[in-house]
Amino acid sequence: MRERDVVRRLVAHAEGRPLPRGTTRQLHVAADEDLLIVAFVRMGGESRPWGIAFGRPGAEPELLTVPEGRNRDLVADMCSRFAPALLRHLRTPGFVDVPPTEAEELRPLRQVWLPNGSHADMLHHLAYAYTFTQWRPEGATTLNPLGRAAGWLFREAQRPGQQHVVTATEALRTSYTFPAQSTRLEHLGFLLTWLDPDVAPGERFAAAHEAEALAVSTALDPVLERSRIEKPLDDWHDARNEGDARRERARASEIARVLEEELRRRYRLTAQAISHLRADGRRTNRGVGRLIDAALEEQWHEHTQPELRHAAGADPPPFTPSPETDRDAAAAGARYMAHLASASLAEAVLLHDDEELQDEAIARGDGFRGTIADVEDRSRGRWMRTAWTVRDENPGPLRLREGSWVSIIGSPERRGTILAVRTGSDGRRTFEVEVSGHVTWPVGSEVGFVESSNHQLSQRKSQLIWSDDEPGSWLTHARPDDDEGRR
Amino acid sequence: MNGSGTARGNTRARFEQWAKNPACRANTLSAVHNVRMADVARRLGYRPSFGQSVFALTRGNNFERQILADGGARLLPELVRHGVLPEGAKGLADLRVRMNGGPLPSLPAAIDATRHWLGVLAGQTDSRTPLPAIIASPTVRIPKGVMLPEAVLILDVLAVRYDQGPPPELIVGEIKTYADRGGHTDPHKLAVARAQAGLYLHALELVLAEMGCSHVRLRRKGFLVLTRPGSNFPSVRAGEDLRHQAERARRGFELLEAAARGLPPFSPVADDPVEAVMRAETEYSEACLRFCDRADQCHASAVVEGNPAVLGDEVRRFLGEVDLGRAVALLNGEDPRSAGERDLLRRLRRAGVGRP
Repeated sequence: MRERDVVRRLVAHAEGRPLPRGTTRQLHVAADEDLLIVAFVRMGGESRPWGIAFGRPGAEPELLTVPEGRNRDLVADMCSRFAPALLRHLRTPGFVDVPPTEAEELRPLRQVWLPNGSHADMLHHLAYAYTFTQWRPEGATTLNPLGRAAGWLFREAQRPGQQHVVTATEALRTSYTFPAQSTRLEHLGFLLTWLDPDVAPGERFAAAHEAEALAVSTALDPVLERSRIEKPLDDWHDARNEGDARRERARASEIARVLEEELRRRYRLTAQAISHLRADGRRTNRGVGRLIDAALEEQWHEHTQPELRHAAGADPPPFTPSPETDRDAAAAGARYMAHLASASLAEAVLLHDDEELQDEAIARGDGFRGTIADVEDRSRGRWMRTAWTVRDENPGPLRLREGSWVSIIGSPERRGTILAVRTGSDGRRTFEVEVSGHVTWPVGSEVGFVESSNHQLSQRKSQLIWSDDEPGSWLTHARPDDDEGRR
Repeated sequence: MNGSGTARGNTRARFEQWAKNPACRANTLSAVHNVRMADVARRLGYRPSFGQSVFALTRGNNFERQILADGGARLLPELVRHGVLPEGAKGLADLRVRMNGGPLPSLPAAIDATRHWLGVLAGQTDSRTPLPAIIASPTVRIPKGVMLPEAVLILDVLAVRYDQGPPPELIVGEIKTYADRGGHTDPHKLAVARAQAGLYLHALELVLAEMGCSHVRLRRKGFLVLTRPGSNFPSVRAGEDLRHQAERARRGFELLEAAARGLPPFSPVADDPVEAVMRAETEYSEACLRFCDRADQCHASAVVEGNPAVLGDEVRRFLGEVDLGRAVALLNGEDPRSAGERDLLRRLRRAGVGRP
């Protein structure tokens, strides 16, 4: 936690309410028809779902449950009923009438909203369970695509700046500073109660604490499992063993009622988070558009294109990443670089349209503000460049050095290099910055610089890493057999 | 996994409870005298919130039973595959008590059997003598003087290598039911598992020294046994470095001893143990939310006292000695009254808030 965040939490406490973070909303909230809320519950000790709720905001969710969360056949049946809804939502070839033929046709971007991080982990569990399953004939037609989609969504959820998978708690934490301990901020009910305008400021913590008592993660409250499910489940097993179908159905309904109640709460809270963010009043950061473009490119290359080949019955089938590991050093390296590029892009594009993010960048030393004291045209022939002398009267920490690449705040395409940093005896700093192009701002005007994004460099590296004649290819293109040979 | 409350005499959970907030005297008293904080919370009118799922417990027991069944038929090949045991390793000595699916009638019997096996291993002179490659649930009583008033630890599993002996080499293993999801496995859960394994490593060191068997080699790298996602087959994580965790346990035991000596005189028979924990001083911190059933009560008191811990450990560190009420007053423009407050105001201004 940065010092500025600590202080913001303190101020939020002093004001008795969560404080908005940033002057803009830094994530995309899709329209209802492009947004699917998904919530899971699972049995204690199990990793696969016991029940699934899914639907659009404002509509009643569709609820699927099984009486016995440890029975893999029942769970697989349930998941194969859920699969078409998710796959259609993602416009997966084979599940839509007209499959997309290019990234642009994936617009508008489709989002999956989940209550909190444990539900995102369930995507990983689904990928483990179904990506390569050969369970009954329908495995290949519904469960394998579900596993691949869940795997892609889980991987995408880890990419900085992505817009496809949104966990409601993370969305709220990114948008507000809450006056509470970090440990409590993973609970969606807790966060939403803090944001509830109908709760008096003095009563907010108590109300939030009360909301916190109801589980929102994929696991159920152990007390609930013991008091309302354990016995009916035992009886369901007995009835099944005794061939008493009526009793079996009755117990299954009893269990379903409990699970549906739990699923509904998780679904409803996620829908509330969406409504709250929509009604927040802040406009969406202009940089989000760039992030959506990048997200659609990712979807096209990492999910839709391979699915087109699957749907066409390509032989050999397209490469499907294992849920376990990359199993390919070049692929791992390329994804690492892609993530670096995404992180850099996200930070850069959002910052230029949000004053608070700019202040934060300057406070941690990744930028500076000052007054232009001198402008000198240093163009040579067709090489246009301008040297600016900028005086910073209130210098703070600084991580930038001579040679650092910077951008003018608000104009990310205007880049420059710091030529010199001088600190006077009074502590004030003077920067000499060479700005590319013939840029003449009047002397005396205020200007700010932040570290320039290097996402193109990381993007380029993520492509070069696939080549087997680049430096380091001995590592990225080595095969286990080669190692054996060397030994 | 054995530490999940299967035996009252198992000390591991109490040690870990204490280690999560050693500054709290009530926590220390609870750990040392084995007074459940859930009972304290109930007496204070709060609902204990750290129950365990009945299904998760069953799954855990089943998993352990399955991997150890038939002489460790599921576990042995995994340990060989990951290099914990050499090719051809076989044999399992089952030291589990009956309530955990083993053959032994009680914890004292398990302790005796463990000492017997450790003695056999220490006395081994010929590595060709067939001895088991796995010892399930070895149980040790830590020599007197370490952690009062009793210290019994049930290790999950020990792997034994004979290929570089005699004497053989012991490798500590910890069994957990959660899925091994590679780099996405919950790092907090992994850290807890390593801490437990490190504690067992240290306990074995103590017991072997006490038995005069220090020549038995203890490998500093242990292993974790998790589940393969969605299955009951084991996934072994070998080469887990336990040196720092064992050292943490050693230091922890020393500190706990010192803390225990500093506690007020207490007789578990004459005194009401729950009352004694209730009366002891508390030291609320954010960590309490993760383990202590009494955290709600301490939070309520901390709010009244203006303890910055109610906003988290980072805020508490940032404010230092200044309480929340004074910090808010400074934010609202009041003048600082002490050097600490002046320093806080300077840092608040540096972060862009407070009256210039």
